[in-house]
Amino acid sequence: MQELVLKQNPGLKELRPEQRLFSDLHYDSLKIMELIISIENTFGIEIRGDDLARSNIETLAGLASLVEERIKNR
Amino acid sequence: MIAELYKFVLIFGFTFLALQLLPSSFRWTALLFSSYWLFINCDPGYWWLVPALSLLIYVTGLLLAGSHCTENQKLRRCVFFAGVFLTLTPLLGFKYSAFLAQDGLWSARKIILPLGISFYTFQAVAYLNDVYKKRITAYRHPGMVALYVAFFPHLLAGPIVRAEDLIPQLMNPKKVTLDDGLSGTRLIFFGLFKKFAVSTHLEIFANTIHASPEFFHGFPLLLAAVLFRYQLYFDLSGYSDIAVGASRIFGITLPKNFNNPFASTSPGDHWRRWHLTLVSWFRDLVYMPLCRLMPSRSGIAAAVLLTLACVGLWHGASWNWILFGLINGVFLIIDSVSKPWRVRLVSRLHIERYPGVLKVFSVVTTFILMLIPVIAGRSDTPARFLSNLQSAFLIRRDYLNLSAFEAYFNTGESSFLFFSAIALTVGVEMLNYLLSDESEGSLRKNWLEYSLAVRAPIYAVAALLFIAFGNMEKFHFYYFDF
Repeated sequence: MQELVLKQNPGLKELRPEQRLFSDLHYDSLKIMELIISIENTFGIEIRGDDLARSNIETLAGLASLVEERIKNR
Repeated sequence: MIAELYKFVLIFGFTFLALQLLPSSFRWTALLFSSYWLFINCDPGYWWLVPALSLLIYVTGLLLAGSHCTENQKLRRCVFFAGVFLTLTPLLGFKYSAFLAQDGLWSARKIILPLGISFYTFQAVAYLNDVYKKRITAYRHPGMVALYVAFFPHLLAGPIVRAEDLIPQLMNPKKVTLDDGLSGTRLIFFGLFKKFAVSTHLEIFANTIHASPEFFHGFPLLLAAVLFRYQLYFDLSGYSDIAVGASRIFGITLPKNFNNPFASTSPGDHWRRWHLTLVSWFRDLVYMPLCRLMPSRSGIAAAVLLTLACVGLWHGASWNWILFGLINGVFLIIDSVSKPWRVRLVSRLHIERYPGVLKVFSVVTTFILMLIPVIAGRSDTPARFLSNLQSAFLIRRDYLNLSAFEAYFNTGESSFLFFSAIALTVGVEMLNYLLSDESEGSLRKNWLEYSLAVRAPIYAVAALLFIAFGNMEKFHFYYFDF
């Protein structure tokens, strides 16, 4: 997942799990959807609409645990 | 109206009694019987559509879960799309045939639609989608699928509920406590109040202006757009409150449909607070599939526009409502892409030190912005939309146009009722705010802790206001025709 985020943000050198997508990494809702779809395609999972609640995707760590859960339930 | 109300009360009472008397494994039969009983009464011409759609999704669900489909993904996809197409056919036929048959209508024609057709159709499509995506297994009990589509408290105007949330509850409605009964009754009353004491009066004014906008200019046009927004809100949220309250009395929990939408701080925030179950439906069944088809940034922006255009089409099969959706879509995209520089601007101007001022500014600007698509939706031609927009927002001589109000009151409408409706709008909005998460629901949490001596006079005042202002000449909600 780190690779996908870095690919979207070529200016970034490193990522920390506590970084917030919206305020620290300046994601907007279009860019977050781009990331979600590339995550879905990379891991062969489907993120549900309900998963996109702000609390789930607030930080990189939150998003990573959501992806892990979806991989587990695949 | 009174006859319809009696019918509803009779069916509601029968259902409540039956649920108390029947063993839990048979309670669903009472709910299904009452749902069809009410629907046959409300819509004698088209009631059969509900069982027909139920049968269709029941059979399609079983086919999707069957071994032929699980072994052959191509067949599975075909069965799914055929099922969705057939489920949508009555809705498309009734609502959009006139629009599609001609070059396109600018303003929606009044077509008599089967009551609540889009709501139960959307539920049926959601069922097929959830079975196809394997979020639920196809239900083998035809009665449960029939009841999922027909469950009467929310049949005509939502909330739209997903099968995984509703069917387990329908199979085994929980034991109703006194608290459930009281809070459900309060919600029903609050919903009736919003609809019949407030929305109905706002509708008369908004309709008068929108029916002949050539006679009005300036402030009355702006006020008509504001009142139309509140009319829609009180109408739909009123129905939702009644549906949620009635279901609670039957031991079924339905999701809430609104979260204080007029406190939105941006267009994006507005759509996270307005008609939540419909927005979730469009997000899951239109927006996300479109994003998967067009995963680039511009593709996702196009998906936003297309989804909101569909939301507009849902409001009415005409270009003015498509424009309503597209304007909302453009606002959402601008809101999203402009966020980083807005944050920088706020930081550079040091406004973040005044969060209250910032919030009020955001709420007011969002409120004003959201009037623009509403003006588009209620304009009968593109030229009329532009002139209404200019007239409503461009302050010039005689902007207040008070003579328009005189003309309106000369038509026989009572100025007292008009100003009372506005006062009630403000009152109900304040109450909504106190009950919402925004104020941490302090009133909602503490309400039952107040003694009956405090609560009883408040109920009495509310009942008196309802008797004084309730206009129950027609028992019809705006969204029944959607």
